[in-house]
Amino acid sequence: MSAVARRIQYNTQVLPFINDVALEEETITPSLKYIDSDIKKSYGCSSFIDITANQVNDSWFRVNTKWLTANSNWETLTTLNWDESGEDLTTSGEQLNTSSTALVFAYFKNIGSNTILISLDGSTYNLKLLPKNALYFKASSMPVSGIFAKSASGTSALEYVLGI
Amino acid sequence: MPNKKIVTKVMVHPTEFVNAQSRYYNDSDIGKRLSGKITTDIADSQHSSFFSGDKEVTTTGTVLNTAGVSIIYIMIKNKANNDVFLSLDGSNYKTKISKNDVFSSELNSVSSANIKVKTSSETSNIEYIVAQ
Repeated sequence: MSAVARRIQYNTQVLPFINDVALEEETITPSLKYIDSDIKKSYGCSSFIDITANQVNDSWFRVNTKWLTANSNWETLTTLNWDESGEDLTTSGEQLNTSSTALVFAYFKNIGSNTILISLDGSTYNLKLLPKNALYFKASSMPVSGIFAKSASGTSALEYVLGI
Repeated sequence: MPNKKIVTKVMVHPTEFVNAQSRYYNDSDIGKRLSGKITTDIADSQHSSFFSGDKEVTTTGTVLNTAGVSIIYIMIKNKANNDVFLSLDGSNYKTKISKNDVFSSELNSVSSANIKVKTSSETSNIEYIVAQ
């Protein structure tokens, strides 16, 4: 939780594609992907942001969720199996961190098997993460405690970083 | 199957400064690089305002896609010096996009009328995709 200094490097690639190419006599699905004919380009960025060396509490991140949860649930594994032991998000919204400090940087990845929805205010879930999908953003005028997450159906598991 | 798709790859590397080596290494709490990849199928038929390569942003909140439809994907790249702020509910601007940064996400069927951008002062310039 404490450190001399912390920095988060990040990059994004966005590639708009089309599946099929319409030729004069037929439509083919090429083995190579073609850039979208409307947008005509790809997008990207690569940069970094300095975050506070000493983060608010131990809940500022959560990675390797299944392993840690499985470990803590070792004695109760008689009622769980390995796959289920890390699936801890339900359809009820869960606040990820109770700190009222201003959020600077957020990262999320769905490491479960069902879609996850993210809320920036605890009531409206606008961001969507399909399994294996990840997103990040720089926050503005919102506390760490404003971030909530839930599974769209069944249960799922979330990897996250909430930096101040 | 929709013909149009958008492939998005993100990578985040949390690091921590180590005095002894005078450089940044893997963050000691998180301990690894984080990444994800997703392919989003978007509708073949999009409104003419679903993308732009040159959109000026002012201090007044502006709707990007004016079709009045439900949006499932957003990408914004800030090309200019001033920070751009994004609202997904039409009134609260909780996401900041700095110069040269890209924000990209799938959305949980957000109304296009509620997706607005603005600056805090002066103007900026963005490229965007706001797709149904």
